[in-house]
Amino acid sequence: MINVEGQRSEERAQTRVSVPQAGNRRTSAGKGRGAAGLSRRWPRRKAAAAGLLLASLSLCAMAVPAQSQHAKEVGMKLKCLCKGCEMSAGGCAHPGGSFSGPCDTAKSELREVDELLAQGQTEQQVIETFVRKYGTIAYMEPPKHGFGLVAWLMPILYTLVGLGVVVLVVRKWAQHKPAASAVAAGPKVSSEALERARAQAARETED
Amino acid sequence: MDVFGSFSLLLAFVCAVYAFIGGIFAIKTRHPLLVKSTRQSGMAACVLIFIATISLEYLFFTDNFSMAYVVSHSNRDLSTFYKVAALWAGQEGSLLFWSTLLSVYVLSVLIAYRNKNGELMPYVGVVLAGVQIFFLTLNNFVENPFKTLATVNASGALEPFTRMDGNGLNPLLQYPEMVIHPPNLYSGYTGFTIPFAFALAALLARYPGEKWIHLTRKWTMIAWCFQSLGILLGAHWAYAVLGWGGYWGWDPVENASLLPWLTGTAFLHSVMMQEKRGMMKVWNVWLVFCTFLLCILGTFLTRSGVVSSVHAFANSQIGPWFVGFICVILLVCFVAYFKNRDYLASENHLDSMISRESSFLFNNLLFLVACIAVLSGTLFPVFSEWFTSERISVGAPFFNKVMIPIGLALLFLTGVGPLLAWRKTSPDSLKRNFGWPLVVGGIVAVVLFATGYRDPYSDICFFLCAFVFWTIAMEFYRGGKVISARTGMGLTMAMHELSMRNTRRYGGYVVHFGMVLVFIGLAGVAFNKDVQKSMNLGDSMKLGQYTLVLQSADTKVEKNYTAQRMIVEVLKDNKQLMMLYPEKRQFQGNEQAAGTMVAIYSTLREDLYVVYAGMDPDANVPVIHAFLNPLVKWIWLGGVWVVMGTLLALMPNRRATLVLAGVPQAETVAAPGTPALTPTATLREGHD
Repeated sequence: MINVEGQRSEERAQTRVSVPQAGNRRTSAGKGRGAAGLSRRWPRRKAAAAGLLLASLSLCAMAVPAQSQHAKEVGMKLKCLCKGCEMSAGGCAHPGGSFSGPCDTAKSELREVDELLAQGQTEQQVIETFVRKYGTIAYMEPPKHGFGLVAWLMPILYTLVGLGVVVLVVRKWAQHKPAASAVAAGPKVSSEALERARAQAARETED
Repeated sequence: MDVFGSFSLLLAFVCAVYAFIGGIFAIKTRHPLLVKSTRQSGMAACVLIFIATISLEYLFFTDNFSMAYVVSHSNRDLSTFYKVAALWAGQEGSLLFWSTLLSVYVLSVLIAYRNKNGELMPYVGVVLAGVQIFFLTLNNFVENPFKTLATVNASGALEPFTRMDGNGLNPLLQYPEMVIHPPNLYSGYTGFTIPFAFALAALLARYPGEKWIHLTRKWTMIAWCFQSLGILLGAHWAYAVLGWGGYWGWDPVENASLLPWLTGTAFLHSVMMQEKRGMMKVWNVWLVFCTFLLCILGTFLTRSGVVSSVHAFANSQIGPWFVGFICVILLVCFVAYFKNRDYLASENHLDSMISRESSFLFNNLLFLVACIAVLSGTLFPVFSEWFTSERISVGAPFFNKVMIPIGLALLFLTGVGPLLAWRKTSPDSLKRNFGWPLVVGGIVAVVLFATGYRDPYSDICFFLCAFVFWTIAMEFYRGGKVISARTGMGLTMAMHELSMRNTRRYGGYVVHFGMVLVFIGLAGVAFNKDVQKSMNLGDSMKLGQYTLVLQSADTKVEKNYTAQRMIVEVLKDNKQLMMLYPEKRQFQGNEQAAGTMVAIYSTLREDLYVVYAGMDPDANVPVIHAFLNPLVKWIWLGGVWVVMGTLLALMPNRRATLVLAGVPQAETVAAPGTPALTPTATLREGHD
């Protein structure tokens, strides 16, 4: 019920700070993976980056296989396209494959996100690229235009209509009040005493 | 045994049909013998369904691999424990299980009320038999679990065929909770049939008085309790098995289970309006009808695979049947309502906008909006495909954005509603009741904000939790003090006494308290952290205060699976704390899917959740994924309180006189200083 995707930037920073070595390696390995996976972009890489990549790969233990944290966060907004689950690519726990956690489809999506991020695309641009490539299904949220807008407007509409109905109903009910006349006809009691008596009665008898 | 089970199912169908048709004649003719025989036929149908279920379990226990269903969901090495659960692992068994649990309810109702409510029960019997007929039709003719395997022999004829071993149970289901989660959830789904039957029967029979609404409320509470428990167990299962660190992903099947829960909760609140003030009778009847319809819809979504999801293991042809059944129920409900709507004439009047009545209206509004939002969100992808031929995803981010504000508004009402007086609440009493809770909530929010927990939704949630908690605590304290002053017992005992005298009200508060705990747990999500790392033996990683060191790994060979186990040492502030053993299980007969066993170190403050995510394909070293999830344990604790509160609310009220009879001892000790006791001795507090 509470935002699953929501990791605020400070938290992220904290995590990185608390795991300095892992964080550093992750970034390098993440970039490295993106480059290796996409050889046509390879020449654009600086030699230094290549050196770093090789170094990190040769120190097997240091390599982090998963995609960067950023890719995972973007992945939370993208759908796992394996057709077996309704989860996000970042949060996929689809069983099967060698990993629990992202299934192979979700993993390749995350890898693609990493590549796009490495090209300098913003989160929004990555999402747009995915939607262009795979259709609206790729985005976990309905788009805020076209038919998708209906999904967003519906809850607002229900709430407004519902509120309207409740207010109307309350007004209508409040119009005929036999109880009010009964109170007025009774002996004069100060409103404070009446309130106290009411509260007492309510506490002791009703739920 | 398969023939036996198959035959009992068929006989059950015949009995249910007799109970239905005979029941209608019994209502028309009022012939006592016919009434009795249809009732007994209804009971017989239930018993026959039990026999069929036991036969299917017997086939599982005896490893009868000539049965298609047994082959698909069991194998020789599967432990006995999971052979029980294999019953509901697939489509056919699940539907049979539905019938079985429904029969438990039907049988209890038919037996418990056999000599009561003479005018109402024949109608109830007919409605229940109608629902049973639908499910028995599926069990017998559409998804029969008693199918045997066959092969074509040389001459082209079919002959029976027995496999050596089965395919095994889905690894995801081989977890202790999967043995208790589905029965609970299904008990919830099926349980809502009983209030539906009572409401529809009362409407059809124009049953005089308010007795039926008490019965409806009681059975709704039972079903609601199971449903709540089922949902929470499902969440816990997802948390412990799926290994993604969360417990609720707004999966269509999760949503389906939430729908009847939301309308059921709305009904449990608005029913009070009918009991106390004679208001909203039409609304209540329709809430009960909708709750049942949503149960059927939920079963349909879960079983038919209309909205593809992890849970929908099977795709099959039951869809049209369910749609047809839903249409029939709707038709019956509409006809019954329009024919007898004058029966539901209500005495609606209201004194003030700030009153208990209007708070119930807002409560119902929020539950209904939540329900419709979840429903439309779940079905939206299907609709979008229909209208625009392009499938639009509606996932967790959408539901979170829509549902968090609704949830917080509901939490707010949880605190406010119960303290508003019926009819009218004065500003003075508002100040008296809400002054301190607001102050306490404010302090909590400020302290959290100051200590760096800055997430708008979470802070609002913590504020409301403290606010609601304080209002509940004040209610117990004030009521306890009154009784303690009157009877001279200690405050704790007095509060206990108070709860026993008005179980509904104070049971309700306990449930609300449970929900507060659940909300505290949910709010923790905003502060989750996680780290994933490939680790060689001896490597370590840090997460929050914890340091995880991969000490070693081993392989465990069990009867039904082989597990690769990581041995992770956990250090807290550089002091050794404990060992965790996240596992990966490879099950026999199922080469594709591996099962995950998450290792969780759970404290009230946070869960350290460690997953062995697999082998790094490049480096060939294990990958450990660790999550730090604050406050998750509060959700499960909240669930316990919700159940306890419901049980308390189901208990009959203890009368004040009973207690006072036991008090004279205290009275003699306290000398004759308490003469005020005698006049209250006959006073009965609360009501049922």
